[in-house]
Amino acid sequence: MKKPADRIRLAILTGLALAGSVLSGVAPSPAASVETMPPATMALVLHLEGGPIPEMPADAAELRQAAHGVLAALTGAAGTLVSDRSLTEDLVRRHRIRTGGTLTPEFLAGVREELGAPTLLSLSLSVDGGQLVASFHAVDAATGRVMAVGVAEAALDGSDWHRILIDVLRRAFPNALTPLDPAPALLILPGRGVGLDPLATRAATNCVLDAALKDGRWMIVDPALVNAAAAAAGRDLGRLDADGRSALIREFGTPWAIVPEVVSFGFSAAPRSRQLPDGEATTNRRGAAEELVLTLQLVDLRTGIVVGTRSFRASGERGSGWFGLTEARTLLGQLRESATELWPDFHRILEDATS
Amino acid sequence: MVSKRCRWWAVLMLAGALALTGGCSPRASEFLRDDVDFSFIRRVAIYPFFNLTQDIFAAQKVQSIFVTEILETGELEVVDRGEMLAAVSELKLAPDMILSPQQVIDLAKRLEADALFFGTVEEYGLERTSRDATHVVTVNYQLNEAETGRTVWSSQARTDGASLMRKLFGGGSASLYEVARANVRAALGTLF
Repeated sequence: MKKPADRIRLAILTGLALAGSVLSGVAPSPAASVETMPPATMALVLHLEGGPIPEMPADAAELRQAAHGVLAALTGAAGTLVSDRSLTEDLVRRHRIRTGGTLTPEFLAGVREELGAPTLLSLSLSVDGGQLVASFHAVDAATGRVMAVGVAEAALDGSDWHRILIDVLRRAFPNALTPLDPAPALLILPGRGVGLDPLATRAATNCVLDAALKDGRWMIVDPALVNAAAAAAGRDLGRLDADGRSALIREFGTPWAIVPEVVSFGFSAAPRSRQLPDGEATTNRRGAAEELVLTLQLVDLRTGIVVGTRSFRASGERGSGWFGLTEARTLLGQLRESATELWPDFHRILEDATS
Repeated sequence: MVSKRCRWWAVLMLAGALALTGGCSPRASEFLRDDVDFSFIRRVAIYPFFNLTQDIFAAQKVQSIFVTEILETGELEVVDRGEMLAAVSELKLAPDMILSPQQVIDLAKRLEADALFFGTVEEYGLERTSRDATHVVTVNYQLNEAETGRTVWSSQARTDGASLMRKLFGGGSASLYEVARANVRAALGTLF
């Protein structure tokens, strides 16, 4: 149960943080800044991911309540109206949207028709490796097109978690949306991770999405909707055969799909991990940042052939200064650097293939 | 006379420099059928690598590098991994199953591939000796043609992260990624 004093403290902290960001002129979002978010109605969906773990700074209800408070302030500052929370939560329950990665076209239709919101803003909060990670997806409810992605993290260092939450949400909040200009469609499939937990794999996909959106030349469908389309055709994206590929081409009208893969090359001992029946493997938690390789493969859905690939290796440490002092890097930092460095090179393959 | 001596010195110094700077020392042995025209192999698929190591992701890690390196040669078309897994499931095979020649033929036919690559990761991790520790990767690679299912190329490569430079001046072993990539390159170097 949340104490009234806590609520007042959170409200004051939120107000101060937002005022600070406005006064200092800090752009709160790392996402593409192409067009200022218009004053429109948005449906806001919040998911706490990863389950209850000892690293969580507060219990789920308290964290959720606090996050909603900060989001109300952030959307208010951006001049955006937010759909009624109880109606949104009812819609989420009815469509069984358990995570930000399980959106469906039916749910988006509900957002559009029942809530009257043209845009869905989905926030996923997770705690991983001592970091509080916030990732936003703004999705056009009519087309499923991703309009903005924002990802940020902050270390849970034992200080006031309210302050950390405000900081991380403020930095991740996408207060700018990519305009809905016509552009060729491109699918980015949900990423595949080796030696990493599913949250880290999702973060990799978000970083690739962010890099592709900043490019601004593609209409990118939310990976969750690609997953939903494959499932509707009775197919699994991990084992996509000719029928599954045809279904995706029919649904989204493009033969090009990007498959991100992120591999942690550190040694993965068996007790931390579990092997899934189809040969896929994953871990439950990641340890310290290690050497990562992010690979993007461009798949031609008409033939099932990988037409090109590019990889980028990000070290778990970074040297700096005259004496080469090293600092450990967070996983998100490694992924963001990898995606940003990789995209321009990969884009050349994409241009060659699509021209 | 002087120029000959200079040439010898140059050769010696070059050899010394190579020994010092060599990062991962690759050793690959290979078998290549000489009655096969490899130019007919255009479209290939990669069967999930087998893993004989303690690191349960070792096979997937090495396979990820292998796919990238194969594609970077620009010589072959590679079937998407999802298509391969769908075919494996459809033909009631399993990723950790040793295939008979007939199963290789059936799988290649289903994937419309000219040949299938296989890999077995035998060592992946840190090898400790009395003085120091270094990363070691050993992988056995194989290419089976689609028509008969027989092996037309095989290579076993062992790479480690030690080098004379590192031993002399410290700095530890090359990373597992570097060692694994050197391994893949050493093996593919015997094919392309």
